[in-house]
Amino acid sequence: MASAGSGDEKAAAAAMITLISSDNEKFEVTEATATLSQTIRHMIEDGCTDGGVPLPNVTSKILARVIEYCKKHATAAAGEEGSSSSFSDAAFLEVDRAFLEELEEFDDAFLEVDRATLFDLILAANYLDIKGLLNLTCQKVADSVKGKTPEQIREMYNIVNDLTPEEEAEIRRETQWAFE
Amino acid sequence: MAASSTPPPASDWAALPRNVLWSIFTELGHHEVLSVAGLACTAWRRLARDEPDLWRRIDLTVPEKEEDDDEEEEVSDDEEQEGNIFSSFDDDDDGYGYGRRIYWQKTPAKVADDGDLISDDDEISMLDLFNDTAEDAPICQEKNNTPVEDDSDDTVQEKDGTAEDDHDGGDVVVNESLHLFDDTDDDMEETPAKQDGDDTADDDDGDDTADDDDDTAEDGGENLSDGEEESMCGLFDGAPIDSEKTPATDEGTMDSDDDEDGTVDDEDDDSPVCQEETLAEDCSDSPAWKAMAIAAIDRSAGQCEAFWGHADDEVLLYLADRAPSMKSLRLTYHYDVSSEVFTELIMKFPLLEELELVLKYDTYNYSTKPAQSSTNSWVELFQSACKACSHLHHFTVRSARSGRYYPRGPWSAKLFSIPVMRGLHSFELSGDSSFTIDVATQIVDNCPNLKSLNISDLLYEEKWELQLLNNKCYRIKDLKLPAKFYEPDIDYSDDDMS
Repeated sequence: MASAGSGDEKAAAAAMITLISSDNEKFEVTEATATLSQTIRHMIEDGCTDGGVPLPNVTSKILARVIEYCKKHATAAAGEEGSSSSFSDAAFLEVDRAFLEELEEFDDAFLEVDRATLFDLILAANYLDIKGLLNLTCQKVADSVKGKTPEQIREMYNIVNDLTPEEEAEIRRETQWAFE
Repeated sequence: MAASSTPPPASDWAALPRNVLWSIFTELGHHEVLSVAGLACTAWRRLARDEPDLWRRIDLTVPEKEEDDDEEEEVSDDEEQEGNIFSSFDDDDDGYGYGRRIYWQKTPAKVADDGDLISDDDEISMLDLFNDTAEDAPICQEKNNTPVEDDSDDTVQEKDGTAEDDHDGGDVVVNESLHLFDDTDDDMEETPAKQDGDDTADDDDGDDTADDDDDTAEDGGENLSDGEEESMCGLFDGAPIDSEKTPATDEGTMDSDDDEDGTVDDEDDDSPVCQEETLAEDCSDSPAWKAMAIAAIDRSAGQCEAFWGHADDEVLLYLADRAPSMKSLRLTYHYDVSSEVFTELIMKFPLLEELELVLKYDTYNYSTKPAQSSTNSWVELFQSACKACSHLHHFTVRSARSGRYYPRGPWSAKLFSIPVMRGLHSFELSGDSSFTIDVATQIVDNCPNLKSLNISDLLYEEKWELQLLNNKCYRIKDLKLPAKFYEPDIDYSDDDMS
């Protein structure tokens, strides 16, 4: 696709894919958007997307968000491709930077979600194999965890401390550096 | 699976798919995984502990951001006002020496927040370097004269000695540097001495208390009472080095600590894990990073290919026996190398491609170990590395603080020879002025594929035939040869200060 001319691009853009959420809601998206998901890309390549792609692991609420992300990033990718052919290098860099900045802003805003949504987004990104979204969401989790104590992490993410007393003792032995 | 509009409790973060958690841990960095995230629950711990792949490239360096913020807050004003030649040194060092160091001290400092400022000692001293306040200087000098530990004692006395006996043979050079400091400002005067004092104290503490720590960890591992904590604390509190240092920068450091302390205070009660050891670490500085480095090496289960972070001889020897496929070694702290150990351990990294050492700053030579003669040169490290590592691509050795203004006697005529290093692409050696044109020439001759050569920090000597060397280097794209060193440079900086 990337190497294809504008004709193919249009054709790809014209090809629509129907995604079906776990609660049976249907979303129609362009192939360019859908193929940000490696999982769906493989399905398309295998020609098994007729009649829609059922995504039993993804709810409509989350799928809507995921599609929002994919649309934005697919547009950005397409925009970059277009600009590379029609602008001079300098102009291209300019446009490129603008795109990246806009994308960054979008990503930041996109991540303004509660933890439950974040969790579902992570699972969806993982299941759909959308690398960018998975990285983005994992980064978000990592940032939120940074500088916290184990106990704070447990509180934030409702993680039950299931370490056995033996394990706790082991940790104490192993980790003199556990400051808190 | 993930039902829609479920309340938060339904998200089972402990049961994240392995690769997702992997990504999160990778983003977090090894430091956090080791000390915090890997302790949250069994599942997280299992991944942190039992996945050698996660530890294939151990990076225990600390992201620039955190300490940059702190540093800049603390430093910027002073720097601007100073406007002296040394300000630029601070810039050079960002992220390598001091900046990271601050962080390492900062973390343990969290625990000892209620007045136990022992842990702050190094942090304080680091900040001292930047805080050009009038009170600092005398306090620091006092500190340096205080008998602390064997090594630091030696160094300090040595330094004092030479300062007084101006014509002490081989050490004349040192006097110059001291004068230089005298002339510039108090802050700088304190710098080299302090650095030595601190570092050596650390190292000693490190060795001694590392053992203590292990003991306590095993003995009292399950029984960490506050009482013990305090006693540890008291023990170190009494040490002269701490009590001298602490008052110096109370204010300065507290500010920067507060941000991070806030979150931690609450936690002290909740998870009393290892506070005893922690305090010991605080006082002695090294066991925390050391234990962390060793744990990381253990977890890599022999698969480690890169190690970036803080290490000393002990850690390196440990690593050398457990990382036969090591490719990249970056010791970005003040590594107090001893050439014997280095020569021994470098033999165990036959596949090494990248070697970067930021050595402890020292005006005399690269080690404060008393037995080391001042004629040793960092060039020797290169020689050892070349002999052991035929795949070496990058070699960098620099001083934690630039030593370019500390002229010292010419390198004694030791035999320098390296094999032909076809793979070597970049070579940087800075902060050591005992370097001869012959060595430089030989490096250029024996490394035909060198693309980057940086020996610009080295002391220029009149007798160097730079033109000749320059001609030899025509193939080297990125070439930084020594600039001519001349007296007016110093005068200028002096004028600037007065």
